[in-house]
Amino acid sequence: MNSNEKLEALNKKRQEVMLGGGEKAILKQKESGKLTARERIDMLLDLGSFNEYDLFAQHEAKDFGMMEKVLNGDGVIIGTGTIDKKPVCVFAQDFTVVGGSLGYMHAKKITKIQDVAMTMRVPCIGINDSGGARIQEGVSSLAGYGEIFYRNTLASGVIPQISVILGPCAGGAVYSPALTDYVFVVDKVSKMFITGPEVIKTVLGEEISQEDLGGARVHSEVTGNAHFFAHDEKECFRQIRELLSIIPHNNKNSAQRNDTKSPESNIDINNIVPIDPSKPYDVRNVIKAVTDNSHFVEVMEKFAQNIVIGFGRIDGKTVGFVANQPFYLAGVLDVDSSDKAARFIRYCDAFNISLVTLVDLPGYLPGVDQEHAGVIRHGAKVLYSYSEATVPKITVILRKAYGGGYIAMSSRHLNADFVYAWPTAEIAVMGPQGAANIIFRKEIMAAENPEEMRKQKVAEYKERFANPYVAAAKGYVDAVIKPAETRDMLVHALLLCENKAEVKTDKKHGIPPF
Amino acid sequence: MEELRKISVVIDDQIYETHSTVAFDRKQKWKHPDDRIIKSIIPGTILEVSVKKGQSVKEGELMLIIEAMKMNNRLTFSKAGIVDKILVNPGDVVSRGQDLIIIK
Repeated sequence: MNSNEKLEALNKKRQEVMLGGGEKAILKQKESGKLTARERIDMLLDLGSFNEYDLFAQHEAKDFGMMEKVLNGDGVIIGTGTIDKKPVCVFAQDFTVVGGSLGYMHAKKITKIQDVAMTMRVPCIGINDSGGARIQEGVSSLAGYGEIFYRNTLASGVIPQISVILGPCAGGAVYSPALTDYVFVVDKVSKMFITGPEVIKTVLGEEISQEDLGGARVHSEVTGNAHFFAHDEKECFRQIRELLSIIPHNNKNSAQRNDTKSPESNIDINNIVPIDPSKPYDVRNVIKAVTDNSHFVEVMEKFAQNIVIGFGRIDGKTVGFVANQPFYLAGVLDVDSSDKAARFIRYCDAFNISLVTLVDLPGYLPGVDQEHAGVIRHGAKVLYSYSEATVPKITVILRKAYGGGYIAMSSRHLNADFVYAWPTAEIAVMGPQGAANIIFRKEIMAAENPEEMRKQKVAEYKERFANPYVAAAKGYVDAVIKPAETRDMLVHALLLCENKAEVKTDKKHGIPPF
Repeated sequence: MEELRKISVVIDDQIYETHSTVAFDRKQKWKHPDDRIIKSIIPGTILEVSVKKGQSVKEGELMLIIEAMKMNNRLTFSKAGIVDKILVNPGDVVSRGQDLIIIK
């Protein structure tokens, strides 16, 4: 062979392998409403930036007739590319090759790219579309999963890890996504569960569809396993690119700093929060009133909506927002919202993202279901995460900050760097109704007109305690500010915090109430 | 914002106007457990019912065997009583929380 022929042979070999499971299987993949693994990578990365490795990898399995089987790429594509010109590592399981089943070489390819991501300190994005373990490879397949999980854990808090569920992801396979930072799902495409509908039907006789058991909506709204929900794959890749544009790409570098732009002028921060503490509003409008361009990338938008988490920029710098959302469940802390907030706080702390906390909550959600679901343990996660976080912590109390909720939401007592309160803030041990009913119980009961007396006592309590000035007098609030001053105060606080001294302890790690 | 349902939440005697969530709508009202009704703690198939109606049983006595997760699990009585009703037969597939036997 001369060199031209050698090049030709390489081309041919590439083309063959790049066809994955073949034209028929590709057609089937498309008919099921899914893109192919290669189309997905192309859509995710900057145009033409993908460099593939281990294209010619082959499995070494012998049993059950595997020796004769040639599986192109062993069912997974790995490589590196760029997103907005910044390098990232990618793997994409190829469902057209024996259902994207995971054998040992398949896993080896994934761990190889995980290792590259970790060594080079760049984000790792995994596209999951697999029927599960390759049963013919037995325990080797399990070994493969375990080696992936191990790397997920070691990389946690060092580089962002993103899982994209674009097909089935069942059994043990779910645990790699579960260990990563962000799980992206697409309506009607993503399916995640430990035991599928067939097993449930056999064992229990209960019939449930894959969609109802572990579809994109279920994981976005009910389980909290997914962080981003998209209506189609295109939207999903746009979401990933947007997220990667606003978060740091490792724990040593900060996120790309953009030019400062003002929030949109049509948002009037003075008129978002109703003075009456029992009235709802959308706290995301407050976030949009203080961020550059009013831009906000919300994480877990549909899960535990009573707390809002996500990223925005202030003065060009990425900030993590945690905000009680009175629009849903009065913005209470409960099992799910605590869990959601706590993990996000730890994420921000690991990646040196300053935290801005917006407080407006009546406390914890009462109920047997909450107590039995462990609201004590889950609620403790919020306290733990805020206390442990050493990144700049800036708190703005918008309205209610009652009782345990006040303490938990990045209060001065958990070592917040700056605590501001709006004039509408009510920082108190509990709401005026409850407090008056306890403190003035005897007077109310002895009164000629108890209802009249109750009203009077509630008003008295409200007058004296339902304000920011009691806490401000004790120095728990650093400044009572006008809503319109909020953004400037945040800009200044973030500037001050830029060289915040890092407190180092000699403990190995704490034991958070997982 | 889709599927909004207005609700009010009462915390410390204050009523808050707000909206429900999907997960909140799914929660079930708590019921006081009735310790005369023995429920399955695991989904599985009944292999054997070891007692008869009207039989008096002692604490620790074998009640039934349920095959679940590839194991034959032996369920015993946690307190003495008289078997009032047997609600399952060998071969039945039961789900978690399903009533099995009622004692008095």
